[in-house]
Amino acid sequence: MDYIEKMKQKRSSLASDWLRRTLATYPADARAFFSKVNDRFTNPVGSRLAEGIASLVDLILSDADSKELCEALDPLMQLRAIQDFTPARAVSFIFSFKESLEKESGGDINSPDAVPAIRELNRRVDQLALFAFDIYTKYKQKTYEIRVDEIKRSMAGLMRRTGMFVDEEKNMTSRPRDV
Amino acid sequence: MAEPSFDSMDYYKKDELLEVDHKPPRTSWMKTPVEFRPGTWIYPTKAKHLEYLGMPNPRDWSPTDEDWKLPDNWQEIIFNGMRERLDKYRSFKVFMDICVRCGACADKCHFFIGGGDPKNMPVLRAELIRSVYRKDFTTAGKLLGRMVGARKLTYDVIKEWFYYFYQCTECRRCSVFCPYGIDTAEITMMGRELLHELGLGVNWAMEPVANCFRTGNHLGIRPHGLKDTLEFFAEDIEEATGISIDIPMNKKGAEVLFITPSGDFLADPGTYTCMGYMALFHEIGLDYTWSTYASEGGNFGLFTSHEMIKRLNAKMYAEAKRLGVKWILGGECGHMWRVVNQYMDTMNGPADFLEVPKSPITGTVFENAKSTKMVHIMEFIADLIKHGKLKLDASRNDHLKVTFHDSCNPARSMGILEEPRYVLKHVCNNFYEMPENTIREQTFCCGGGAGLGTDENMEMRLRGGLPRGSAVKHVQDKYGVNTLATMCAIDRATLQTVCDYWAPGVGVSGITEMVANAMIMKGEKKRKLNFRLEPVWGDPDEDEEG
Amino acid sequence: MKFIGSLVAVLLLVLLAYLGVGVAGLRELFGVVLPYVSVVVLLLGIVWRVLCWAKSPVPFKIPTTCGQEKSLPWIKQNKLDNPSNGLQVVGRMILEILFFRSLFRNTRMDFRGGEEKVVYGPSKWLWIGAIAFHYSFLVVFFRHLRFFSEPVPWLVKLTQDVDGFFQLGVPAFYITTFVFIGAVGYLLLRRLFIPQLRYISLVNDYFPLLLLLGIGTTGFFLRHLFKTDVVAIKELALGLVSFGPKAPVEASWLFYCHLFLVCVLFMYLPFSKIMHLAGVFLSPSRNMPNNNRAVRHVNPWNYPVKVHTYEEYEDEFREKMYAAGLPVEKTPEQAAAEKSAGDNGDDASSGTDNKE
Repeated sequence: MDYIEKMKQKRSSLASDWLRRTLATYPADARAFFSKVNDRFTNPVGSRLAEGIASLVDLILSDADSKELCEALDPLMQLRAIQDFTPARAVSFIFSFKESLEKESGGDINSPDAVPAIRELNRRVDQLALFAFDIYTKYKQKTYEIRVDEIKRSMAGLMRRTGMFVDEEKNMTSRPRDV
Repeated sequence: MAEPSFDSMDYYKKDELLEVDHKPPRTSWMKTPVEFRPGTWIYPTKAKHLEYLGMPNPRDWSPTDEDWKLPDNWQEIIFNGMRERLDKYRSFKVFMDICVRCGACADKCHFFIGGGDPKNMPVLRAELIRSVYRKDFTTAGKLLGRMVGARKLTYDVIKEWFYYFYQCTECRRCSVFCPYGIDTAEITMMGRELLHELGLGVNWAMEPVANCFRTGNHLGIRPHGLKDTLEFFAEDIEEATGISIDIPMNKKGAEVLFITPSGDFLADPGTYTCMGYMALFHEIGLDYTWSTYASEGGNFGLFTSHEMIKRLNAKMYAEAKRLGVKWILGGECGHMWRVVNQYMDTMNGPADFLEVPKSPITGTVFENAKSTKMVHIMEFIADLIKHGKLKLDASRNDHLKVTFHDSCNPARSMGILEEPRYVLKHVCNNFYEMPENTIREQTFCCGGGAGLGTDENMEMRLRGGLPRGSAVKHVQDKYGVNTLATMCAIDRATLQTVCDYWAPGVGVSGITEMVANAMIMKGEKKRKLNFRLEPVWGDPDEDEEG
Repeated sequence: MKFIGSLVAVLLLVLLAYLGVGVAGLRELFGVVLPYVSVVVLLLGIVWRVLCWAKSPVPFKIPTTCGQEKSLPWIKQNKLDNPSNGLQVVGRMILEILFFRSLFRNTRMDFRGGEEKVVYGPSKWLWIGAIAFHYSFLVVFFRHLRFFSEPVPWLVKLTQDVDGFFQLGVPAFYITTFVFIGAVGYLLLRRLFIPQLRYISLVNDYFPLLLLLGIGTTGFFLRHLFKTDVVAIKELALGLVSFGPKAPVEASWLFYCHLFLVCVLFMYLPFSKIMHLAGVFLSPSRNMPNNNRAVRHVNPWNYPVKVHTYEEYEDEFREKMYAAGLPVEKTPEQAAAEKSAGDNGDDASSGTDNKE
């Protein structure tokens, strides 16, 4: 059995180790609460992190395409973009996958195909980090957009009433909704 | 020594740097000073507003300044202010003493849930004041200090108060779970009152307060401007329905005075709710009037001080008396109803010049409002529907899949939970509840109440909005919900933003807007446009058939 | 640190009892004087604290509403979570005080299996711990009445029999002894091991728990590990309640230690967070009905405030209002005429500051 297959069998301990390292980026006293993943509604941060990381582990190990990776990454970065992080810290958790991999590898590290496999996995993690940065930026951008939208909405009635504009477009934000 | 290459295991140990970097320091909360990061705090009150209102220490300053230009005797001011409030409010005194720190509230605050800052745990938010209380007002605290959770009032404490008491939306969710009913909203209100004694407040709350004092509404719309606004709405209503409606304003001798938050005059989608009121009152032939002097239902005094609540609220009864109306009808608003329900009668009553509210359409007497003499629009509409006085075609709202957000104040300071649901179920066919532990008395705040609904603290608001956003996203994914109905003006402004981030594709709507869209009006033309003038029921350019 | 400090404090108390009785033989002090002092402190302390709270008025009716309010007759009110009269408030308070209603609200949604449903599992632990602690404490307290009465009331006997139902050991183990020690232990451990709780915990939280644990453990030792002269202790107890006390020389220092810790608890109680037992009755968010709109609440210190009157408002905007066709009290002409008349005297239109 090759190295990656062996890691696939350890996927759940890999995921929980990675999650632990990710939670370590939060204040110590919130960590326990976030790590208690029992409810998507009363603990949305914890459940997002746990679900996102679990699926990312699978995707990294199965050489998923970038679309799948981004979809799994999206909710995580959506969260971290508005939490109390610098951009580097917001993305940093991606790299801790490498540490988790090292820890969980154990003796398998000596298997003959480990070095090329690890090289390949590292490449995927680096790729993931770049995606994460893209998505992080997308959501940062989004916070500015919705901030402007809100201000526009707050004055929409006023603007319409002036009757100065030829375009009677009612929704001042011409951006389509779902973008 | 050569650098280990990336495929060697030695490589990984190198990024211990990162590891150290991203673990926040572990210090006791008293020793962790506040850092004012952009996106989390709100701009302070401009000097001119404090001057206009005659409030202490008007000056221009910024929270990021080292020196906040406090009065020299600021410690004495806080000490005296606390003593005064301990003597005046049993709530404050009891809440200072009886917390056992059981932690039941810890994970109930939306800001803690979304961001994880421990000082956003309600218990710790209260400890921010309680620690100072222990030092100054209890013997044990004076003697034993930090051991028993007492600390001196320092400049940093004041900064901390400013930061965290403007990260509380006074939503009372924690109070629901507290075995002693300790209400953080009450504590935040006291904290803010004390801060105001030093001239520390936020502009997004205080500018509306100053505006409201002067012009009668938070936005500062002058009387003729309000008339213009409502006339413009009437034009849109006519465009949608073909019906021309009257706008009674400052009309003496009307039966009912109608008051709604001014946010609905300018901000979408509140504007459509306002049109909804106008169309509804026209349809049922209500003898009512708008007032320009009492043109604000909301009361940002609630986010300032008890005295300010009273100063702003006084207009409602004063105007009702001047106009000689029989009773007051209040629109969809959150904190307005907290003020009306819990403070108005006590502060500015008794309203013995008014009559016990009686619906002129159904004859229903609102016994539950017999002293305050003010009825909630949802009670009023639910009663109309119950008596079959509205001709409704719920299928007109078939393009909407609706869920309902209980606003904090109507839910936890009043308990108006069934009326809006009853109304919604009669005006739309697709109604889905969000998960049980996120609605009714357990509802999650929008993250923008209590003076926090501005845009400079957007990150903080989105953190606070995450629990609500997750629940909306859930019903969006599960049932295809595309509309979040809510009966609060702040919600209508802020939840749209929360949805745009956490559940894009979901729009926000007032309930009366939906009522008015479903309502078949006497003499209406073939409806193609809704009140947003969107062609939801056909192409308006197409010729009428037959 | 705060935990260690509290632990040291309790151990010092134990040592004090040992030195006082075991070494110095101050049986009168520990067996008679301190119990009297502590009961007096307890009773006066509670009365003083409650009066202190009660002295501050309740200016506003601010119940936290946790259910549908009383409104239209055909809408079902949730009478216990949103009471509208005194009787319903009593109901709400009973639920709160006897069953810890609010703590019981902790529920969570479970997603396993695709469909969400409410589950009542681990989220109820705090509630279970709290119920177990308070009720076992009550029973233990009640059981002790057998020392203070002769003959022993039947209810006390019954409690004792039910509590020792399993008849294990000689003398029989009481169930509540274990429940009590277990619950206090649980409450203590969660403070130590749940990070956010450790973050907020103070000496004020650890000390009473450790004190209770000390009382429970010494009590257990007295009954099961060391032979204690129950007759002598009962003599002392009866002497105390009949105001003719004498300290039993035969009782071990451990007994005095147990008694001393209880005395400390009594004296500590009125000045600590344990006063929540009285405070909960005074909590305005729970003990008031939500009938605000039907029954006016009076604020004893309601004072006049500076308001912006309609007259001031119209004075500022009269021209615009008039021009826009809005009704006004005085037309601009009338106002101008009044003003020119008023200019001879005081300016009547300014200053409506009616603040006292």
